[in-house]
Order: sequence, then structure tokens, then C-alpha cells
Amino acid sequence: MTESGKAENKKLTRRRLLKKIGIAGVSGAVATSGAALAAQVTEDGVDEFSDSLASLFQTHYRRMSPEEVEATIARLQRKTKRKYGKNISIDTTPPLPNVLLGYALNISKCKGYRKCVDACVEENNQGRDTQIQYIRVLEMERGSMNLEESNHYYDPETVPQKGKFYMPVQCMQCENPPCVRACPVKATWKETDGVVVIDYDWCIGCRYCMTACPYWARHFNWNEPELPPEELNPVTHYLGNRPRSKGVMEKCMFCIQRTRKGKQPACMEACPTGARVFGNLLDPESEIRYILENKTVFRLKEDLGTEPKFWYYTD
Amino acid sequence: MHKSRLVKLFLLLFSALFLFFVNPFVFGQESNSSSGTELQLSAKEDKEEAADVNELDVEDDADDADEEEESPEVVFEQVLSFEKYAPAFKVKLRKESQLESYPCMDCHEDEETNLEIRELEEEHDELILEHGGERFWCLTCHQPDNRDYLHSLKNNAIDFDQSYRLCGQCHFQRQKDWFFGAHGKRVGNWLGERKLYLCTECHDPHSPSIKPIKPNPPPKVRKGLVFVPNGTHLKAKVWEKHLLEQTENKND
Repeated sequence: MTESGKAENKKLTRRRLLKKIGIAGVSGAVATSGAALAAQVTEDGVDEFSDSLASLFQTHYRRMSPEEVEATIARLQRKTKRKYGKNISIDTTPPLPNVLLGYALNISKCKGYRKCVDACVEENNQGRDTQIQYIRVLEMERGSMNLEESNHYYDPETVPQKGKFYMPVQCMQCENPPCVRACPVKATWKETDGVVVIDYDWCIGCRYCMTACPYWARHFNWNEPELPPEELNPVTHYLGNRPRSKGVMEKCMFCIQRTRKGKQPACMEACPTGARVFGNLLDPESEIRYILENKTVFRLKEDLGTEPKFWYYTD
Repeated sequence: MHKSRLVKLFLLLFSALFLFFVNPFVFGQESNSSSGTELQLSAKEDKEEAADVNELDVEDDADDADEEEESPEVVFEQVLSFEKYAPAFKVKLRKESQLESYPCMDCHEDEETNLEIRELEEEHDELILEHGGERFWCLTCHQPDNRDYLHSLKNNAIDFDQSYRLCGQCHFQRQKDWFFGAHGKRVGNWLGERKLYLCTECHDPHSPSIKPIKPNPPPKVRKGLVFVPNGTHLKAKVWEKHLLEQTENKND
């Protein structure tokens, strides 16, 4: 009893896990009877060891049966509860039918406040110290489009500065995404609504996608993300903002936990200037289609043929 | 030969005339020309509309005083230019909840209307009227007889919660963008009902340009890296730096 209590308090290291697997292997029922091996039953009714074991054999998200998805989500919720002491919801809302999501950003209106950056970090559960930010706001010289001379560390007393314009860059959700082709394990793919997503549990952390992306949109968790439990956003999506761990990639996914329910992405909601417009590219009545058809628009590095679904426009 | 040319000329003239007269109806707000009948018509509409808005507001108040109010759907027939084209939307009401001294007639009922352009000293002296250079005065936009309303250049009453109709008289291009979603801020959702902020939610009508503010903090520089101010790494040559360091070392 006391021994089991101790073991419960200790964190499961890889070594101990492997040891336990070895023991379990001897008993001859590794994969199937993880739960039966439960020696220490925690308060949520399932012991940590069998959870770790099950996550070791967790398959690719798109290969999971509905039952497997359900079990995986329950397990991830238990895991989060243990780590952060907080109950979270992880939904698996599929892409909306007849929807191709696109973004338009008015660079005449963007003033470089960086409100979108912080709203994004809060919404999407990024580590607070690792400085993974999906949006970089580039301060650019007026009349130039030289990205090399842009500055995203600008910090003047007030913005906008004279002679500068501001261009936020984030994942462009390319229609022809080079990152997807670069992934050796197919842990990242384009959904039918055009959003490129990652199965964080399938990612092996090779960072090929990071180098393949021409927009610096993919970010790697070099450390365990430092996320104070009180700042954890409990409304999450499996392919969206659920808490990540060390050694996996992450990126902007158009806040699918929000946008698939019709809500605005966090960056758009936070923008006080109304420079950000989000919508369905397949709907000819939509605001974004009006902008694309009536405004001066451009895309970043269009010549690479990645077909970004993120447009910049001017008044 | 000669006759056919004349006919052509007539046709051209006729079509030009036709365009000239029909345009004001199609692009009512953008064009300067107006006929007497049109003016009367829109004045009538305005009055009806104002009455409608009042009734609806009262109902709203009774229902939920605390909740953030969204107006009943803006009826687009009243916006002459784009009624057929722009998708429908709602605007967030302001006058009851956000205008401090509304209804204005509480005070202005007893005040005599002073049409003289002057420095305001007793009331409203905090207002800075930067809008339009020196060309505007309170009564350019505010209705002199009934201060609970604004008024257009054609002297039609405009509700405070429909201020976009006033602004659109000059800023028609912006107004069009706002109708279609290329300007202004949509609230809450991207799918379904469009809910927009009015012009005055973001722009102070008396000095409409947006004032600069402090930006949120910049991202941290990654561990092990040093931040080099922008441009310096492109300008200073390595060999120049090297020579500079050498001479410094010699001096030491």
C-alpha cells in the first residue's frame, strides 16, 4: 500500500516505463491488457501506468475508430488533469461542409499593436516562456517589401511609427503546403476546410516541416511548455489548442476549436482595428470574397507556388 | 449617310441624358445631384424610420437592460446605394448605453439654439473638433431643433445609432467597404449573422483619426542569441569591425 503510494507520487520516467513494460512483457500481455495490469488506481479510476502504456500504442488520429478516439480523448483529459489539475474539453469537430477557410488582412489598417499575438498565445495554450508565437508582426519600411530588413522586435513608445507599416505573418494555410510533403510520418495534413493541422501525438519532432515552410510559421517545442494552470484554456480541439508536450511541432491552425463552431479566430476577435477578415472562400457572398474581388490584394512569396490562403490587402 | 450619323448622335445624347438622370437614383448618396421629389421622399423615410427605431428601443429596454444590446436588424431599404448588393447586418447600439448625456433633449429642451459659431465654454468644452479642418460646426451634423438626432446635409434626421449614414455622405468609399466587410469590425462570429460596430465605436466623430498607443511587448530573443538592431548587420562590414577591434586593442 505504501509502496504503491510512493510510486504514484513519482513521475513516470522513460526508464521506469520501459522497465515496467519489460515486466509486463514477461507476463505476456503488453498491448491488450494494459488496464488489467492496473496496480495503482488513482482518483479518476484509471492508473497512470496503463494510461502511459496505452498512449505508447496510440495510433494516428485519422486511423482511429470512433471508439478509439473516445478512449484517447478520455486518456488525454486524465493526463491534463494530472498535470494541470484542471478539467478540459477536447472536441473533434470535423471541418464544416462546403467551407474553405481563408484570411485577409488589411495592412493599411494594421497598426502593430500586437494584440493579436497575445490573444493567440492565450487562446492556443502556448508555453509562456518558450515564446512560441504563431504571429510575428513585422515592422517594415514604407514603400519596401524587403522582408530581410523587417523588424519584429520593434518596441517604440507608441505605434504606428512614422514611415513604417506593419505586416503580421502567421501560417498561410497553403493550398499546396510544402510542410505536409516534408513530413516523413504524415503527422501533418490539410483538412477539407483547407486548414493544415498536426496530430501532436504522432509527430516525431524531426522538424523537417519547419525547414520546409517558407513563412516561419512552424514552431518547435524545445522545452516542456511552461503554462500556469490558471492560464490554461480548457476549451480545446484534438487538432487544435490542446496542451502540447516537449519535442513536437505546433503552428497556427486558424483556431479550429473556435472557427469550426462559427466563432472568429482569437486574433481577429482581439484586433481593435478590424484589419483582420476571416471567412469562407467558397461563399461568393462572404466578406473575404468581396475583398479578394474588389481590393488590391497580394500574398506573401506567391512565386513559390504554395498557394497561401492568407491575403494582404490595402484600402 | 448624313441622316444615319445624326440618328447616332441623337442616340448618344439620349443615352447620356438617361445616365445622368438615372444615376442619382442608383447611386443616390454618392452623387451630388438631387431632385426635389427625392429629397422629400427620403425625408419621409427618415421620419418613419426614426419612429420605428424609437419603438423598438423601448421594447428592448424592457426586455434586458443589462445585456449588451444588439439592434433589431438594420433594414437595408433605407440605405439607398447598396440595398440590393450588400449582405444584411446588425449594428451594435450605442446611444442608450454609451453616450453619456443622451437623451440630449433633457438639457437642450430648455436651451435656446444658438446658431453662432463660437468657442464652447460651459458645456461640451472638453470636445476637440478636429474633424474636417475648420469647416465643421456642431450643427453641421447635429440636428438643431431636436438634438436627439443627427442630420444629413440635406437636413434629414439621422438616428445616433445609424451614424454610418451621416459619415457616408463624405466617406462613401469607406462606407461601401464597411457595408461589404472590407472596413470596420465584425463582432463575435465569422459565420451566420453579421454584427458590426458602428463607425463611432472606434472613431471619435469629433476627431476621427486613431491615436497611436503603446504596443504589446516584443517577443523575447531566443536563448544564446543577441538581438542586433535592425539594419546594422547589413551595414557594418565584418572586415571593418575587425579592423576597428584591432585598433581598439592596440590603444588598450
